[in-house]
Amino acid sequence: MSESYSEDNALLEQLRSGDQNAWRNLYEEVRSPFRLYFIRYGTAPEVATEMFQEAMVILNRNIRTGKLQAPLKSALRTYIIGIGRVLLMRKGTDTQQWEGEIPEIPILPEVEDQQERKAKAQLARQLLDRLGSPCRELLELFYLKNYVMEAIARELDLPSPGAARRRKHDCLRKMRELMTA
Amino acid sequence: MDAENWTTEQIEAYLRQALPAPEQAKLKADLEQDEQLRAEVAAYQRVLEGLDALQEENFRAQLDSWSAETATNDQTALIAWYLEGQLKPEGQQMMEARMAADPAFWEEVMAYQQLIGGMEAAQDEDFRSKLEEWEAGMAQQANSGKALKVVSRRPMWQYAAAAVGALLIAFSTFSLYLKANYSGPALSRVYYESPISERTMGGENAESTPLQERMDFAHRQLIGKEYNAAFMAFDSLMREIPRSNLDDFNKTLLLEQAGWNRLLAATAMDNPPIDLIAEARRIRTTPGHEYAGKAEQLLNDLESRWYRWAN
Repeated sequence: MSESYSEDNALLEQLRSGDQNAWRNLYEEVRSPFRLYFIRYGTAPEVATEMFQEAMVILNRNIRTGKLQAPLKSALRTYIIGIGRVLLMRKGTDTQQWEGEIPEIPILPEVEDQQERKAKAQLARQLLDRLGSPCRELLELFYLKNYVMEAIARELDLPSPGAARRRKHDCLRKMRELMTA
Repeated sequence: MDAENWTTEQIEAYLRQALPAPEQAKLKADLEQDEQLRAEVAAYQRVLEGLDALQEENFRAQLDSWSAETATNDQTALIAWYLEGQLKPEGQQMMEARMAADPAFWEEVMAYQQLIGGMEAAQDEDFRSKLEEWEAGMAQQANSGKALKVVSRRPMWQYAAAAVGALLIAFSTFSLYLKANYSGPALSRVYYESPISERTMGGENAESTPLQERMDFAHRQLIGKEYNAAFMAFDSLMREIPRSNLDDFNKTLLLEQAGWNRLLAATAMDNPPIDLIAEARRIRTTPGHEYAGKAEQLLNDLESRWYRWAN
């Protein structure tokens, strides 16, 4: 494994733990090379920027759901450009002749539209608002900010990561009960 | 095992495909048998999907705010990539079409080109000697009392202003004649020649096709009097051709053609971005240049008083 991949593997763990600085740094580092890669072959600058935003969302989703895990087979930057290429191919652009060893990233087709996603987010927001403050805070840390259990235990002054894990499932159950209450 | 026996933790792990395989299979089998369990798992699925959607919504909002902060230099980066020749032919064409459609963008590109060109020239040893040459020329002019040739025209303008109607009409007619024959666009038209593509491009090299398409595009702009766009198109070809894999013969032919037509486009522009006389001289003095003879004639016209009056 090359040195750069080891660095990227370490970065992947930071991203997985929801480290906002790591996400921000990655965003700033990759944005310009990503745009250049696509604009170079005639993609409109606005489209390249939109694609970059979407590629970052997909990266975030793949890390969160465990689809992308260490050890990485390519640098993260290459992976993000690979997502962009798949997005562009779905719009009907042939990118086969383009230079660079960019991996084919399997991306599930979008099965839900924006409205559907908004409705789901709205439901979760309403349920969180109805939960008591301690549970809401814990679930937000875990699901929205991607905190690991150790960090949640520290943040909420719980005795151990195990206690945080148990509390999290209690809270999730309460949230589920509110759905039918 | 029924709904009571599966914990929230296990149900969540099942939905995330994170249960150990035997447990995953067991829960799946229970789901087929137990309607209550199915309803329970479906409810958790809605909760988790909602939380995921909310996380994604927050992340998108975060990306938007980062984008707003970092997008300020997007246009500068875009222009720099173009001017530095980092774009492939498809990218160059996209930029040229954008410049042709948006005069403000074109002006921005031109401004950066002058800036970059100026910085490059500042590093150039020749530029220093040119400055010295200009300085010497200006000192000589000042000494001989002929600072600006326009001074010699003043009596004629004063005379024209005071002249009777017949003289005014004669002057107007003369002025129209000059515009029709010596204005920048008129000279550009007079000296323009359609390219002979079979002669200028080899048929075997795959790289010649996109270059030929861009050359055709540039010619169309020039013929269509889109001088700014034509200038940029020929200018970018002049940067691209030396990096192509064409053989030296075709490279030289194409470069000469692009250089000559870039000069014609610049001649027709209100504010030429290059020094017309210097460029015409460069072409005239380049050994074996296909347009050397025409450049000499154009140079004579550009240096004539008729051209100065018409422009």
